[in-house]
Amino acid sequence: MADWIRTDKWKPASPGGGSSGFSVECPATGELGHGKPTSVPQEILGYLFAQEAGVSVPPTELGTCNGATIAASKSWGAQSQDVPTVNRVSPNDYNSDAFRQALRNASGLLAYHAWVGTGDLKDEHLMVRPGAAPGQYEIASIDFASAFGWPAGATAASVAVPSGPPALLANRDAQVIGAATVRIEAIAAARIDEIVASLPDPVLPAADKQRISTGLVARQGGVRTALTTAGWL
Amino acid sequence: MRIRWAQVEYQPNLQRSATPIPLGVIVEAIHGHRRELVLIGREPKGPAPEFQIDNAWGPFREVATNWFESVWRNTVSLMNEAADNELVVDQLAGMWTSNLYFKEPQSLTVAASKNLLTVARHRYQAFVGERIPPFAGERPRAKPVRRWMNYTLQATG
Repeated sequence: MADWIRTDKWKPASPGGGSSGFSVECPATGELGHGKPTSVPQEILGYLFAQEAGVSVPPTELGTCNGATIAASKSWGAQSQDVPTVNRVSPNDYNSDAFRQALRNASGLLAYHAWVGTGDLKDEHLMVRPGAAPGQYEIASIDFASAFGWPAGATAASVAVPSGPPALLANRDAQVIGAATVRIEAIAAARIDEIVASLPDPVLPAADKQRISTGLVARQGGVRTALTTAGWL
Repeated sequence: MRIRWAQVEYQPNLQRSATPIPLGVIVEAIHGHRRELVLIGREPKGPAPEFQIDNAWGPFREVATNWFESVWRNTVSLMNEAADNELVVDQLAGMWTSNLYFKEPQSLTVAASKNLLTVARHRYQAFVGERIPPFAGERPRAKPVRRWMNYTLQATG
């Protein structure tokens, strides 16, 4: 695990919903990140399963800071800002077709949030960076402290459509959401178990691993139903 | 007079840390129902390699080159909505994060006669390391007009 130190060289978004955090820097690499000492397994799993589902979440890894284990969420881009900041800095860009397209391209995150059960979904939790070409944007989701919180024995029926972020809800693309749903459904149960088991027991005890693994497998079958019922697919 | 203030800084690269660039300060004082805010800042004009925005565009460029207007618009909007005991500086500090950010707000007590423009200018100079001439509106506050005159009489018999 990489060692991180607290820094004042930048400032992450204010922690919400109890997910306390602080800005950190990795002395070995110079990388900056958001260090989270609570909800560590949720933040790590939020990133790892996003990779499997093909949706954008900034890299998040286990690390240490002052001897304590943290989840270090790396910055989305050298220049990046959250969705409300784009609106404050440049309302014209915020209201542009290109920005709306970027939100549509990111609407697969709605299927993902439905699957992992993220509860705290604000526009401040959508990070924006420049895309591959000037005028293009790429959007990622941050803050999974409230995810993976279902009780033991969760079923497909426990899946609910997410209540946010507002910017994504207003720019849904059924094809993008559908494609993300297909990817989520295709993740093998063994792969889900493997990812959850990769977290050390001190970070995620065995009982929670069992609850999360079986819940994710069961909930795979409920994502399409929930999204279709809501008219999103 | 109690004031609340914060420094505004810019981090050029959120993936490979660079030396943050001091940009300005904001100072807030609440006098009863009256609120006063002063924002002093600087923006890059022309080549500014330390900002690492040569290839930046749109909001990723404007957050550095046009930050003052964006922050001031935000400040005025918050002023109009803030309750009497709510500090706008603290709200701004929670909203402006990532490349352009407010450092942790601090409290300070200064003499009631101090002009907030002067306080802000001194804070700015100390933070940015550049002297700026006094503003036209800088002059010591007039002593506050007392609303009541107290009388005491004592009689002994």
